[in-house]
Amino acid sequence: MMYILDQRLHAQNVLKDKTSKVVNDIVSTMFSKHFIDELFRPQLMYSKRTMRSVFDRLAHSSLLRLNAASMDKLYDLMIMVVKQQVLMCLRPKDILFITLNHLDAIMELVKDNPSTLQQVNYVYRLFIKVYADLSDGEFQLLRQTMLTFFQDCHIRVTVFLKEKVQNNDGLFVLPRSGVVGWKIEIPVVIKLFNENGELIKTTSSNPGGRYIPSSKEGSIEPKGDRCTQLGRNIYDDKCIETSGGKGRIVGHTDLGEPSSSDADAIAQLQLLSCLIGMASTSQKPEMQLNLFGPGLLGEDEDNYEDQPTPGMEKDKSIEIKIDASKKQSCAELDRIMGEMSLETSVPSSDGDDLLELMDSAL
Amino acid sequence: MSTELYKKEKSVKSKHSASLLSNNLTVQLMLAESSVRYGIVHKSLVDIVTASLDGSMVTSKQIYFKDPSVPGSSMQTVMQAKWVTLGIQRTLLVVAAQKGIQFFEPDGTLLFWHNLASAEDTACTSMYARGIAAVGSNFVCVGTHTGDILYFKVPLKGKTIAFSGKLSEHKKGICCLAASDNLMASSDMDGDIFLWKVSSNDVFLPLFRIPGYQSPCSSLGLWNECVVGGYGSGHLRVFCAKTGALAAEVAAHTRWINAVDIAPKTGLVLSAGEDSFVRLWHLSKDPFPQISVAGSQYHVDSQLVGSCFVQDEGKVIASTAYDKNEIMFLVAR
Repeated sequence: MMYILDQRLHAQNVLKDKTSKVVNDIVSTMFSKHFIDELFRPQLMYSKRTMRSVFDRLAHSSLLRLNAASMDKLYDLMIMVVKQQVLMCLRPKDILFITLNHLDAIMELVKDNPSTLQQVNYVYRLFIKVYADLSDGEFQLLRQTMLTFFQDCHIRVTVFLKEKVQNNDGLFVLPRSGVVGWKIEIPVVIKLFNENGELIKTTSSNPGGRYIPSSKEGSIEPKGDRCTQLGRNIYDDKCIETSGGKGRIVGHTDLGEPSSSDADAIAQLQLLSCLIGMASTSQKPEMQLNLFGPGLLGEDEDNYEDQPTPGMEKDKSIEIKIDASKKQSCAELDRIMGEMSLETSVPSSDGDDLLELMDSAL
Repeated sequence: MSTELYKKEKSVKSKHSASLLSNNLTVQLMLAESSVRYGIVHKSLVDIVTASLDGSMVTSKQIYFKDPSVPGSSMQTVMQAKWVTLGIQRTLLVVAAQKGIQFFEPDGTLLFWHNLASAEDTACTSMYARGIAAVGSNFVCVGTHTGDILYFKVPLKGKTIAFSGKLSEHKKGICCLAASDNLMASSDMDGDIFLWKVSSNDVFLPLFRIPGYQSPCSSLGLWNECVVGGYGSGHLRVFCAKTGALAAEVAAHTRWINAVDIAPKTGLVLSAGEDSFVRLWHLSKDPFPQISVAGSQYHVDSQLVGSCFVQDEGKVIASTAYDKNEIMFLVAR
């Protein structure tokens, strides 16, 4: 989420001071002790509804305001990018290094604010303490649980489609070559032993792919080499958006979960209550950020000032329609969310022009 | 080494996508009905797909996992589902989930359940049941997160299934169970494997322990005095089931292995992993177990979570992949 917000703020030439204030406010909320303590409490995976509510809240913990469509896209993008990271890791323990890449990047974002940096450092140490010594089997259980959460989310992401990381059906492309995980041997090698445990024969054959052994394991040290690109900012200098070909979004994150029970609802409320009152109040001046305004759809960030030829634009533009009103609602949560006055309405006519919006906000 | 032994055939659609779990496919061939029943775990349900042998008729049914003793309880994430056959005619679907185990008739009727957690246990401890095998003529064993293996006595007729006891040799959570007649192999998160025998007076005897290799042994096959283990590190290992001695170590996959199966009539072994490969191996024991390459097939963009031989000769292979709602097939040429 921070990668996307930071990138959009920069791309839209928001003043540096303002950008760092927004980023800092969100990070300091996200890494507040209260919230982190609640997150690290042993518990079941949050429901999709809770997860979405938490990110709605976090994204609005600065003076930045996102309209419903922008928030939907921000969330969908985030879900798909994290899904890709968790899915593609070469071995389960990579989820540790992916998370450290995230934390490293967050530290870089708030490096000029000592108190926020200290908050992130605290979480970094807590994270290492809790997770660094898990076994491969435990990491795989975590990964399985996370991928159950992401299962059936097939939203297509333009940058992934362009880079051939994702197929048109929303599934990810799996490589048949490249570096393998730490301590994984390149197949196929068969070693045969006799009854006395002596190696009697070694045969090898073609693995059916061009694999390269991994040279070292990732480091958990501060600023160490995590040995994976997963979890790093893939949005640097790139335009990103979700796209839903044929005019409809493909598999928009479904928040309606039949399994929601009282226990779930209590957990959700507990988590959300940790975030209440942490954000800037609505009395302060607000700033609207239209992440992926309708006027910008399908345009390359690189081409943003350099208008592309109309023909090209048509090829690239895929309309997105997300109807936020159709989601199943949970009355209690909605009430709470309402009290926190999360969403501010965006004037729909002028609101389409991103630059105007930014001008009026700044 | 031919990689052309098998060719791809049209897949069968399932209603739901397969979850990322090891051993996430169970197959039961019903020769009398000329059809095959498949079971695929999707989050908190098991998708039962019944297909005619030629694939022309496909029906599906879902079994949801809920604690039947608590009305309105939320659904639990299923860890594994497996068709088990006791004696010659009794077939049941055994489903292992986060907090309990359930036994179903093939038509989906719930016969019996066993909860792992007592009411006092907190809701947030990490627990699970995983690893299912029918041993001897009347036992079903199911592994748990503590390393205990629970065994249940199942009559050849009737509903009187009973929890009979537990085997507590493993120090870490169970990953997989496999059985052949009175012999059972069990593997855990440390990669340790134990071999067990059910005696004629219904007592489970531990035979020996095969130490692990610092990676979970996620899937197991047991055949003709050979134990084949598939590991998270991508290795396959073959052990002598009489002594536990290591007979072969194979660098087989570049990612986590999720399935191992052995065709009982031919000794053909398959292994499938998150690297999208189904690899085939010849297993022999003359006089000591040996393994050699028999071929491989690549399922594009499929993180394989389940793979089984559909019949005893090993001529048809069914596989499932994470996030995909289909059963993919390989058929011997």
